[in-house]
Amino acid sequence: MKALEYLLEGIGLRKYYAIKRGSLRKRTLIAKAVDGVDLRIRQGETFALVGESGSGKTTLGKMLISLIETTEGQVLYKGKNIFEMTKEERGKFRSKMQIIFQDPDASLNPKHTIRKILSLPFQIHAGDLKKHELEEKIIGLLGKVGLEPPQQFINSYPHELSGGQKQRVGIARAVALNPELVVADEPVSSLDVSVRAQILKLMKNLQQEMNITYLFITHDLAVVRAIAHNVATMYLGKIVESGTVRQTFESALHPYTQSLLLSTPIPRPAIMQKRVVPQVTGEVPSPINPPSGCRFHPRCRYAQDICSKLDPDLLELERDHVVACHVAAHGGIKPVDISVQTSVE
Amino acid sequence: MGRLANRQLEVKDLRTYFFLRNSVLKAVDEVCINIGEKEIVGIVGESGSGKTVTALSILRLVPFPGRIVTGEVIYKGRNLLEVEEIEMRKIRGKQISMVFQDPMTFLNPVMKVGDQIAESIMIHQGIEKKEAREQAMRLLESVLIPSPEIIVDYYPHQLSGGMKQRILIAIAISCGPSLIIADEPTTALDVTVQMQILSMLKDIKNRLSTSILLVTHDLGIVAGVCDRAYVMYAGKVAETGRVLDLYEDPLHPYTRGLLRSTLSIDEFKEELETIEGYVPSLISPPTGCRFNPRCPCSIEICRKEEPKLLSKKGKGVACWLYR
Amino acid sequence: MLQGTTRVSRGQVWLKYASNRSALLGIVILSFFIILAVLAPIIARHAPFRIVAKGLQPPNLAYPMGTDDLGRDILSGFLFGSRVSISVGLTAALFSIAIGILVGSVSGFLGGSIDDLFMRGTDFFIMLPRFFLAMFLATIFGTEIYITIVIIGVLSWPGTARLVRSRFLSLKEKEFVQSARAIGASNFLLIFREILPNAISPAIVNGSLEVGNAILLEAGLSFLGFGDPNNPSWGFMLSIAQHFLSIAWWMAVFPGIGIFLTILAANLVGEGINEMTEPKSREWRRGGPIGKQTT
Repeated sequence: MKALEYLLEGIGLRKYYAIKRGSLRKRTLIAKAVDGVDLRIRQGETFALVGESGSGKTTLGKMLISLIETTEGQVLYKGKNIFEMTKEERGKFRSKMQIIFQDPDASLNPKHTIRKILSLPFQIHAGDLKKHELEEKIIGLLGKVGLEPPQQFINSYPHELSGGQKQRVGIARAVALNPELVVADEPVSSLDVSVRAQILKLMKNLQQEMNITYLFITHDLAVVRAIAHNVATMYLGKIVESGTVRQTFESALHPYTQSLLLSTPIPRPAIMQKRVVPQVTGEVPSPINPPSGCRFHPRCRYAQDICSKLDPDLLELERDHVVACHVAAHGGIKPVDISVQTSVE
Repeated sequence: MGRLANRQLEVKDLRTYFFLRNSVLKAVDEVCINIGEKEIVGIVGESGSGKTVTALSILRLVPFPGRIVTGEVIYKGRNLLEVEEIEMRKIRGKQISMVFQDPMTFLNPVMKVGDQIAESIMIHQGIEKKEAREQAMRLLESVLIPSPEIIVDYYPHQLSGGMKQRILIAIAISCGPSLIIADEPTTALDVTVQMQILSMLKDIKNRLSTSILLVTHDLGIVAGVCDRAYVMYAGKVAETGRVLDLYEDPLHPYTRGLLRSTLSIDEFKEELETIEGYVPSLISPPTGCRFNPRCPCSIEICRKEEPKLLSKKGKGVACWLYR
Repeated sequence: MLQGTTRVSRGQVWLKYASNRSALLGIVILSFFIILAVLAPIIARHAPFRIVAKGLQPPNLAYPMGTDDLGRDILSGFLFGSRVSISVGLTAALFSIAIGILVGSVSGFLGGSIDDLFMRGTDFFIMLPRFFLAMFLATIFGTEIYITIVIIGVLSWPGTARLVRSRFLSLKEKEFVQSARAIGASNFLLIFREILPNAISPAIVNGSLEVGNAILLEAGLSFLGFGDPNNPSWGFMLSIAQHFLSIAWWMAVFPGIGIFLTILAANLVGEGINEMTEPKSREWRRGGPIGKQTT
């Protein structure tokens, strides 16, 4: 019974890329995009993967739905290892896992009408639909994502639509086959502020209507707060903290999560004016040569000796709240109150 | 409007239109901006608001098929829109410099970054190469680039996004400008790096007494960095004022809607608020107030006549509700 | 729905093409010659290459393009020759475009060793001088008209293949392709349904230029004696005319003008299609060149 509790599970996931450098491309370096990640997603929830560039969050998301091959590790779908599935089972699995991309311009084929774009899922998986039945389905989809009246959009080309409208089409395409899980890779990051809430609202409604599970990948913590149930923070290929949204925002314990929180601008001048200071020094290092021990240690104000030597494990410090930090494990990290604090003391 | 005595830059009734094959796109339509000494002024708006075109118009960098139709840009007593191009070149980069969003487009990929900074110094100050390079190294230090003596010989592709942006800032401050125009300078950066860059901009304002015009869509950045701000919508200024006032007591329905629909990490909203509708076409904008089709408070006159910007005590709003 | 870009209907697209005058001229000339070629049997007064009059007559009322050394009507020869030149040119070009697109798309999409193999092949063909290779192949395989078409076709596809391949390489990783893959599209669908429509315009433009090249290549081969004597083309007429240049200019000038105008027309059409499909011809986008935000 416990195994079926989770819709999707990742165990020991790693993704390494070989990069050739040198004058004759003789040297081969290894970029560790994802380096040992365990993840569990429950049905019906919105799970957010948060991180900056180089965190590996997008790579992880794609591995979980089998769009990219894993270098190491397993992915379990409802308890079953996807690499041990038959070709048929695998195909079915793929159709139940869909993806929405960040850039609405690049995610729709510029030469296709909206009708043609939305007919693809049916063409592949419900090929026996008659023409008028297909048209009905497409019109139904457009209505579902708020593109009304549908007739106005069905013959249009992507370049005639606004960013928000294009993103709705992307969502329509993703939910066409009643997926169980949708990976949303920064779906609102390139949209206007006033449109973001519209799209997130739509996604929430669809979740309730169709019992969709979301794996929400983003760098924007404000979006996470608005939509997610559970959050995992990633840094340089590893998960450094994971817990419920409330735990993450009210009692984050990993120094990196804390600096992310304090670095996220909020529309409150009284606090922000004092908060605009470097909350953390330096930049994310290259995944080719990550720092020894805890990867965050060169930038961490709490760093101790052990941090440069031993990579900390994820420990459950609160119920359902895991943190990978030596200092946090000994209670040495003070929680941060983002509504008043201006920096980590 | 506040500190009349020390105005750095005054934009009056600026109109910049784009002349397309069959239509005219009114990107900036009668916009007035003032920037005082030693202050950071924000222009905040969504896409189609005209904020970037306004910034480009100040330095006469509007790309074809755009053209500045009318207006004045008064800087140090002169109207920049009437000045010879040769004169403008002396102003750009030296007295008014610009920092753009995408460093990759604005850094020469085949030139070392140290040389690029030095080039600006040599052109505007007529200094010899050797001394210019030394100044370049000092500038790299001032923008907090680690190991400047090594980085000075690097090429742009060897640097991270944050470092490249610092190089752009170094070039921008190299000749001691009195005004820096920054157009979405941190949009493409990680949020932790963004904080470093924003902090640096504040530092530049204080240390070098430079004013900054910051164009952005992010209300959080404006809250943290700007002293005053202009809220633009569909090519016009909707509201303006001191940042603390603007956020505490927004007057224009658009500003209110924008603030309410902005997602923030410090509050959980059960119901996500939005502004209904879409940003209008700038080719055939709505008659009357451009925001009226989406405005929850619109009255009859809003559909007929455009409200002018009324200013009092540092606050300005273009809305019929306040007449 | 309209957000600052205007809906461009099919009709408007053609109007845009028509507004480019030189492209329009190209189509007019090309259509003219094609009609001429089609109607040749009806218009021509005499059977081509049949001796009908006194030789070496300058253009006159009875023989508007004059007669050649043997007394054959040049106008009739011109009309029938146009059929050969144009059909060889068009067919060879189409042949090369088809192969080019096929090779380019498969190669660009699959990558790896197949791509390497195909690209070494195309490099080989691009490297060798087309004309001499054509002559060489003609000496081996003969000069019948069908052989000539095949030879020209086979020598012309590498250019198109490279263009299509490079487009495929850049489009392969785009999000709309990844979406289609996530939905479960097979490689076949990905290549032909998703990517090819976006990669085909450079092939078409290049293809129209290839028409010109093919006609020229055929003319050159015929001129040097590698033409098909049973299906004389304009080039063939030129090869005969070269011996009489000083006394019968009309023998060379008319076929020469024919070749010149057809190639010019094909090039103008190609440029017209190029302008039509290039992004510049679409309306200016409201977001402008700077800034990523969209509504």
